[in-house]
Amino acid sequence: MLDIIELCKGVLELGFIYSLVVIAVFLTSKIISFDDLTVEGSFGIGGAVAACCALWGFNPLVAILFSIMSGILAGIATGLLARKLNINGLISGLIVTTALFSVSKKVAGSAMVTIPADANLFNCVGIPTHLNKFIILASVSFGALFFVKWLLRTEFGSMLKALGCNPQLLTNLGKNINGYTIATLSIANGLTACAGALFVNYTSFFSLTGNIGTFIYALAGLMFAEIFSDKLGVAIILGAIAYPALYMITIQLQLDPDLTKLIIALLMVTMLLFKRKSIKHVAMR
Amino acid sequence: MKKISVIIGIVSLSIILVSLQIVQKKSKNSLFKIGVLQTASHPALDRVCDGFVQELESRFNGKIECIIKNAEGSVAHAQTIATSLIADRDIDAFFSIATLATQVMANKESQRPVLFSAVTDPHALGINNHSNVAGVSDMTDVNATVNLLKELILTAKTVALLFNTGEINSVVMTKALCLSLEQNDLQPIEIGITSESEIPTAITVACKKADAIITPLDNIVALSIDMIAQQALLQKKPLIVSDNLLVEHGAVAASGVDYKKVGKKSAEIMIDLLGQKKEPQEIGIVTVPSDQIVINEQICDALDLVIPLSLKNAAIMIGEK
Repeated sequence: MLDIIELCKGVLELGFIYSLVVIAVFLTSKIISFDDLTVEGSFGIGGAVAACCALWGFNPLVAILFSIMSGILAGIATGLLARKLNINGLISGLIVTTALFSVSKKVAGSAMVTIPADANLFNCVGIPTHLNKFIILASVSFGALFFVKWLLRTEFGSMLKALGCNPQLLTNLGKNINGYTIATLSIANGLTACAGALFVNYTSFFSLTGNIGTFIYALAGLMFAEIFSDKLGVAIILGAIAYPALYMITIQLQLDPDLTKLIIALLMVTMLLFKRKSIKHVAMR
Repeated sequence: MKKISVIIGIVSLSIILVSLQIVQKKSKNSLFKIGVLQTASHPALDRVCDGFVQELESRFNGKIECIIKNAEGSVAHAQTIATSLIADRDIDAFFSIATLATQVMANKESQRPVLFSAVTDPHALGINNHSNVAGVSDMTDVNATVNLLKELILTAKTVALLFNTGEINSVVMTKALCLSLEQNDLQPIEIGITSESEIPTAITVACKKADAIITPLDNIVALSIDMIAQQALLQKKPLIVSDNLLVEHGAVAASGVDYKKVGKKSAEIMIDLLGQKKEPQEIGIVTVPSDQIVINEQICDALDLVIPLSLKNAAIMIGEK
């Protein structure tokens, strides 16, 4: 018998973790139009810091705070490279990600670190039921979503939106463009590092190669989110869930494993076509 | 419009879920169902899987069902696959091939038995304290590899170690190899790589600096062995590998485990587990002896290496003229 609840729970949990990264990419790519590749590196460093803190016997919540701080530092580094040294934004992200590979290795101390069960976030926090992981991850995911939504409604948020479509406006207002860019990058990477730390706690181990593909995942999530809605909202979380859900379906259908990616691509095309049709429909009305 | 898309979404989701349920039906004539999670596809791991499935099928006269899944190296994918396998309540036991798959599987399943295979250093993973986990290690005897190098390449003084810094199995073995080389008065030079794209540079440096090259059990090395072997031959530097299967791709020799044997050994343990003859904890971690030496005669000739007679008799020779 197939335990469908277990299946959905697994997909949702993974989606909730990655939704933080999708929110981060939304902030950088959509709001301030700065395609930030650092997320790939900060996902890794967040996990590495969490693993390191767990080995040192820190409280998991403190560990997550340290992870977020490491992500913020990574974001600041990218921001400084891009804005102070005038290096192309994409390249700065790549540079920081490259550097973070070594940093992660040094911080974690090894290419693969197992988190002791008594230092695992999901064993220390919350209620001891099998739904514990699900509840914690869902609340973190929605918490992050509402935090960013609130942030965009503040004056700071309006400035970020202006930075994305008309940076000249900020200059005219006497605001510092660089400061706002760096601030956004640090928030985005802090969120990503938090996701990295949650992922490491979720899987109970840190792997140096665990962060590979994070950016692609986040972009795919953002694309899916746009099918549901263009705005920042629950759609983002749905988008993040869509990718593991599609992957799960291809596994469950027991198709030829070599064809998995091709089928995901086909499903993506179908979903995008569906979206275009619905837009046309709205336009006709 | 929004309502319609929500309805369509819900309907299509339920159709998918129902169809999944139908697909998952256990085929009636199989005694056991086993979920296999493989870390990535490369020759050695594929052989473990083949050996495992073949042995089980011959023992049970085909009355066994193996669901084989491959994570292709991604942690997130491995996680999703593990969730999917665990959600299938018909599966009696799990089999994980290589380190990443084992880490994921052992941490996700706590009741049904998990058998791992081809993990170089299981103790480093901390999985030996899970009560439902047992397995087979593929750690090769590094001293045998170094001895092989000394016997074949008499002039070697410095030895380059080409390994992936991101792989725990590779790092652990490189450390052991370094120690063994130093004990044998050979100077090790560690050359760390992190991706396949760095191999051409790394191999050029290795050929310039060292008299011979050794590679540990390493997934990136396994995937790009053709490139490594070709470059090493071009620069006239002998290449010793740790995985016997890679010798035919142009390495000089190897003294490692036979991965088919690892798969078969795993199958035997799995049969014990399925018959509930033994508890996973009783079995613990088993090693397969790495006593098999494989030598590529063609490459030895090209490099003017003389194979000692004693070695010639003990080893499997391939690439004969």
